[in-house]
Amino acid sequence: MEYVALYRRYRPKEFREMIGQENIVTILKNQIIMDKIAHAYLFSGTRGTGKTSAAKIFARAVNCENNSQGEPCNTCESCINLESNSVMDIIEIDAASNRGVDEIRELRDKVKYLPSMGKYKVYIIDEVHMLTMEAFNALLKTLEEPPSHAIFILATTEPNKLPATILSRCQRFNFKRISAEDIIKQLLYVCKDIDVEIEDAAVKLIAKNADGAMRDALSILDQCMSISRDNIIEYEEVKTILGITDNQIVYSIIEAILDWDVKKALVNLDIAYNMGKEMTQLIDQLALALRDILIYKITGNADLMVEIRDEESEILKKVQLDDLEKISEYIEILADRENKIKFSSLPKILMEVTLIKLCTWTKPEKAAAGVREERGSYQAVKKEPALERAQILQTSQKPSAPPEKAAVKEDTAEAGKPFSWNQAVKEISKEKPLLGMSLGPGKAKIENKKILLYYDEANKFHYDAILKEKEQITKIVRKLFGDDAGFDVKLRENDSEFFMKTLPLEIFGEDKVDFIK
Amino acid sequence: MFDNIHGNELNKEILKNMINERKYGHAYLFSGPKGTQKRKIAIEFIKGIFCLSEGERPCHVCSQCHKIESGNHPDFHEIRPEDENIKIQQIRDMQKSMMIKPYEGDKKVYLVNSCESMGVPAQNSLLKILEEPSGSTMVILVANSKKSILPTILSRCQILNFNPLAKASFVTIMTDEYGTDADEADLLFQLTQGRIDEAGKMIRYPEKKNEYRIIEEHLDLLRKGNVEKIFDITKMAKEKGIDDIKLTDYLLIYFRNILINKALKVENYDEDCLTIPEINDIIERIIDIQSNTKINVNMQLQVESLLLKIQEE
Ligand SMILES: [Zn+2]
Ligand SMILES: [Zn+2]
Repeated sequence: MEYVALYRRYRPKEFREMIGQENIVTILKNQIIMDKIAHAYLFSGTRGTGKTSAAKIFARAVNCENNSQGEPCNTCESCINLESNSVMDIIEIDAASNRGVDEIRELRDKVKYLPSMGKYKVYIIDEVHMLTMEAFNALLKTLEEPPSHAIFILATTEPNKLPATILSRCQRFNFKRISAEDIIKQLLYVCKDIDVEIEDAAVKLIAKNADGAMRDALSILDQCMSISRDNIIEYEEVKTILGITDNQIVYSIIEAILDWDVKKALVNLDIAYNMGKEMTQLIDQLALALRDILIYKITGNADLMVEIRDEESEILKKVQLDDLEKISEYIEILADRENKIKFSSLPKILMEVTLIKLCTWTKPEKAAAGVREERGSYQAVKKEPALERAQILQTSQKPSAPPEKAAVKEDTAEAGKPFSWNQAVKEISKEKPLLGMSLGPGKAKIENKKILLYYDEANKFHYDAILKEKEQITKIVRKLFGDDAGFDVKLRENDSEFFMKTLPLEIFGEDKVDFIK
Repeated sequence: MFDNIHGNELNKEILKNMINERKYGHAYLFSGPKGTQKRKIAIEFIKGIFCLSEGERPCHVCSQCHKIESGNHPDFHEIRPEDENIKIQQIRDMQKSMMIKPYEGDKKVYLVNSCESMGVPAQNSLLKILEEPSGSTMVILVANSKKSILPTILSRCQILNFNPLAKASFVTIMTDEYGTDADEADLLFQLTQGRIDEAGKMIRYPEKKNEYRIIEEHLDLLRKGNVEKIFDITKMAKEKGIDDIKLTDYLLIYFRNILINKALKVENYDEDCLTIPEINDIIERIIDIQSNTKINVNMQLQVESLLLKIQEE
């Protein structure tokens, strides 16, 4: 099985080969040149953006005997030995598969031994957010007093799941999604290198669907090559491989729904189905696109859109402010059906009746006054929904932010100290460091001095810890901000539901049902 | 190769090409709904990889082909869920077994079924295997949906999407190979959502297919005001061993047909009864019952009260 996947063949071996992370690369190289190396790094960012590659290059560079301008030479004894894993000075720990307890303990015991040949021992802990609480504690002790020959590189796609105490000890680098232009450049380079021709439109389509990850782009290219018979990769082939993630069908269905056009909706559903679209994926895309419309119409901020990538899209123009209530209703229906389709043995039929329901949806009879009131409430929220959203999304990361950055918008108490969740986290961490750790992964929502902390299923451990100490925390919060302050903690069952259902509803105001259990 | 497998032509072609050129990757994901013959195709493909024949592979007669077919090949490992889930321990075991050199030839193949049942920790540990595969191993993942697979896994696999047959080709196969008429083929398509294996079963055991016809008749009468039919339906379901999900699936198909006819304003469709919002409402209740079946013991009561409601409207 001699065929090596492209993403492995073209994995960068030097900093200069890394794509789209110029800032990070420059800083890391400068640190090596100036010999100002930190003991702990956190590489965060979405998949396929080069975190692990950068960590490995860095590990070789700091040990390289004739390193030039911060790059490893890849020819000296040290580089060769490290590359081939024949010396154990780069230790990779996979937090995901063993959740780390034994490894981290072993790490603690062995970290004091000197590297076997170079200057540094480098520990790369991948998917570090998967560590258990116990393992985090063990790691924290090591990070507190690292020997001078040890470097820790923690890599994660979900930095918000790390305890604040760990975050605060790391120099943090956030790996950006790679831009489409950079991906296109690299794809063209690879194609030339392997002597394959590729159509312009094909490269663009791959880049668009790679979602900022080089690895995804190369994987798609690999798949295209496996169906291409003539050494030329065509646009149509890429489309086939991608199972037509073409947004056009999603838009057409939404258009049909907005026009109450059952026939058009069903025809487009048939097209999607015959092309092999998964019904769960389709319903998800529909809900996300509607969510985008909603958020764009309210905030005018195109950056917040995830499914509709194009601000010029006809569909955005089609929707009037008056339609927004209807759309939030649609999202609710879709979110509800999405779960059911997943388990149904008749996904297509379920999809059909769902689309017909949307196409024939009429506003439930309501007293005219009630309707007017509802309008009013989203008008009022309209002023700052972006901020509110930003707050919900960002609070989880706040403990990690340096103090001067921490002053993100927060409610201000009428009397007493200004109300700040950050402040509360700091105080609680001071008194109870372990508890402070568990606060990190929660997402805080603040309203009238009431703090509501949400946890995902994945962070149930932290949730349990906080729940146990709920009263203690409430006490601290009241001590800080007065007796009318409050604290509560909740477990959220399913993340997507939050974004699909709860969030849009929150944008609309509080007059609707609270879906959070 | 793939002689008895319908549909998914592109996938078959990709796999055939690989067999012909003996050029294989390390990680594949076969993704598609239940009943799209993913495993069947995977087994054929694996036979093709190991087959000793100089002519067309797989030959189905050599020792390698036989060993794969019977599940007795020492270098072919199949992983299935242990009580509903693939456990992290199974993945660890798999990782360990990969260190051992192949016994018979120069390659090892791992087929992991029902990957959608893997939790995040198990998937993460699988990720490590896919990240640094050893030269001689191939991993084929089979999943009902990509949605429950981590993106980091997806981006490391060559993905083959498996689709149920489109209606047109389904109907053609049904009429050409099984000799069913167009009406029948249409019903089979609805009942199986284009899963040809299941449709074949229904033709071999016609009582399965007739179940729907009988329920349809009863529901027609019910809508005309014949209340006793409510109890006939639940009684019959019980006698015939139609399980709760199946019964509600039948109800769903029935009302979906009415809804489509109504919504598309099909001519000559009897106009006397339900309005579109009413049908939407009934369907909503059916779907609700379906998602509650796991926790609700008294299904019969629920279906009866639903049917009663239908009769009232
Ligand atoms: Zn070197
Ligand atoms: Zn053979």
